[in-house]
Formats: sequence, C-alpha cells, structure tokens
Amino acid sequence: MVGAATRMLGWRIAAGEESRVDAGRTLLQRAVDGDRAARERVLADAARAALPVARRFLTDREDALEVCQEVMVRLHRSWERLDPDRPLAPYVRQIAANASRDRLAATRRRAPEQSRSELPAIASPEPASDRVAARRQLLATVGECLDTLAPTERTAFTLRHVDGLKATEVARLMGCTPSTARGYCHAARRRIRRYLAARHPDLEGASR
Amino acid sequence: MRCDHDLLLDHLDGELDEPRAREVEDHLRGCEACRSAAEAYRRDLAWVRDGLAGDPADSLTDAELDVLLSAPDLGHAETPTVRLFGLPVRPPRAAVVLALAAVVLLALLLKPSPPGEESTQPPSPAAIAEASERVEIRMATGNPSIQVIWVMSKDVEF
Repeated sequence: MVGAATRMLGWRIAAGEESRVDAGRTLLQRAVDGDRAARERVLADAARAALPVARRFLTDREDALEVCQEVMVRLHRSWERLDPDRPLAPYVRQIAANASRDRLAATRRRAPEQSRSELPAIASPEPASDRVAARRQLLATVGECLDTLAPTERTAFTLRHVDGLKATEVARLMGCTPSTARGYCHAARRRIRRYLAARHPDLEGASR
Repeated sequence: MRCDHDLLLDHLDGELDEPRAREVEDHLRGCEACRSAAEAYRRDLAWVRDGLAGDPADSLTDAELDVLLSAPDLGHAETPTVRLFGLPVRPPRAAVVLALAAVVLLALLLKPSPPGEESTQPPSPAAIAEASERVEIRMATGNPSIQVIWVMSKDVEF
C-alpha cells in the first residue's frame, strides 16, 4: 500500500498504472476518513514527493527538510478538504513550491545565498568502489555546473527536464507564465552548454 | 527560416505545434550548425539527468522520516473525522456546527407567532376549566412578549 501511494505521488504516472493509482486513492480515502496508519503513510509519501521539489528551489537540504515538514503539517490540517478522486501529487508539489519560495525570499532578505561550493562536504563513511566514486564525481560535477545557473534558471530547468514536469506546471509552481518558465529553461541550457564547452571539453561526446 | 536557438530548444522540448515543428525540421536538414547545436543540447540534458539520477539528497532516509512524522504539529494524526450530512467534519468543527444548529432550532421555537394566530385576550373560564385537564409549564424568556409554554395533556399516555 505504501508503494502504491508513493507511485501516486511520484513524478510520472505511466499509462497502465491506473490500478495502482486506485490503490493509492483507497489509501487516501482511508486517510480522509481518519485511519491513523493510512494518514501516516500518505504524510510519509507526501514528504518523499516534496523533498525533490524543495531541493529544486533551495540549495540547503536542511531547509528542504523543513519544507517537507511544512507540507506534512499543511496536509494534516486539510484532511477534510482532500478529494480522494483527485491526484494528490500536484497539490503536494504546489505546497512544497510555495513554502520553498517563501523560505527563499526570507533567506534572501537575511543574507546572500551561500553557494554549494562553500558548504562543507559530506564525509564519506567508507572507501567507495570505483563505480560509486565515479557516480559521486559525476554528481559533484553536475552540481557544480548547476551552480553556475541563476536560481530561477536552475529551478525551472530541473523541474522541467530532470523531474519531467510540463512547462505549464513549472510555471504554476514558480508563480510565473509558461513563456517565462521556458525562457528560464532556455537560458539554463545555454549556460550548461557554455560551462561544458569551457570547463569539461573532455565530456563532449562522452554520452554519445 | 533563420537559425533560432530558442525555437530549436522549444522544438527539442516538444513545445511547438505541427507546422512550426516541420519548419524547424526542414531548417535542421539544411543547417549543419543547428544540427550540431541540437545534438549538443540533447547530450547536455542526458549528462545532467544521468548525474542527478538517484541523487541520495533527493531521498528521505528512514530516520529523517521518523523525525518528520514525530513532529508535535502532527500529533493529531489519529483524530477521526465525524460525518455530518455525509460530509467529513473534524470534531471541533462538528461541535460548532451542532451548537449552531441548536441555537437556530431554539430561535425557531422562540419565534413569536404572527398577530392574529394567537389570542392576546385573557383566558376564558371555559379555557381555564379545560386547562385543569392538562399540565402547563410556562417559561419566561429574555423578551417579555415571548413566553414558552409546555403543555402535557392528560389524554396522552406515556
């Protein structure tokens, strides 16, 4: 049942997964009716779905976790308003995006954003295998590349191209028009192109 | 059509309608620079997606989830909803709705009758005689023109 709800809240629901969505709907109905276990599962799935969205807006993972908490609390306060026949994922994403944008605005008012490169590196608990080390290196390089983007460009680009959301939904989450969201995505792709050409010419053609 | 990277990116993202998409395809067939750019954009995207796929920072650990679920603000996760007229209502709200319903009912009961429906004359001797056959409980209200009368007839069997 947990898996069903996770899939319901997941990014993309492929065709033919209706039965799983129905299982998620049943879980949501139970949660709306006050079933404690069902509520905990829906809240947990909502938090899992909210984290990537929050991280598209916020570079600090701790901030993203607080957004997850906020999403859970908001959801918990609105059980009686939830319609089990409507997908929960867009609602969860919208709450996460709004909370993230509020947090981002508050952070900007307080101090300039700390760049990812200034954050302390997470120590590796054990020596990594070559494959794991290569993945970590790739993740770090992609992260470095995304740091060259403006925050709005990074958010729009990752929501659109990594999470696979439509431009209209990206625009709704970001509070802008679809054409502006597309503009952010285009700008991001040009910057990524320039970054790779200048900093990692060795990667050119690597994924061909 | 001239080289236009915004249009090219919209095309790569599947944002263009059929005629525009065909225009861009025609242009790509004859423009080596745009073909090369399109290939580079596709490659970049694959590189970023590959790099971010399975980023552990995008997933919650079980320990983090436990902490999130144990937050005090979620302390009433088990609070059951009450259904009123088929609609789910949380218990505090249910109490408010029921209280309001009681007030409305009381107001209707205490509503004064329109003039003419009820006699304002003093009771006749016959009525007094009839009254002896029944028990009346009279209650004063805040409004001196309104009086609540509970009547129990001796004919009624309890």
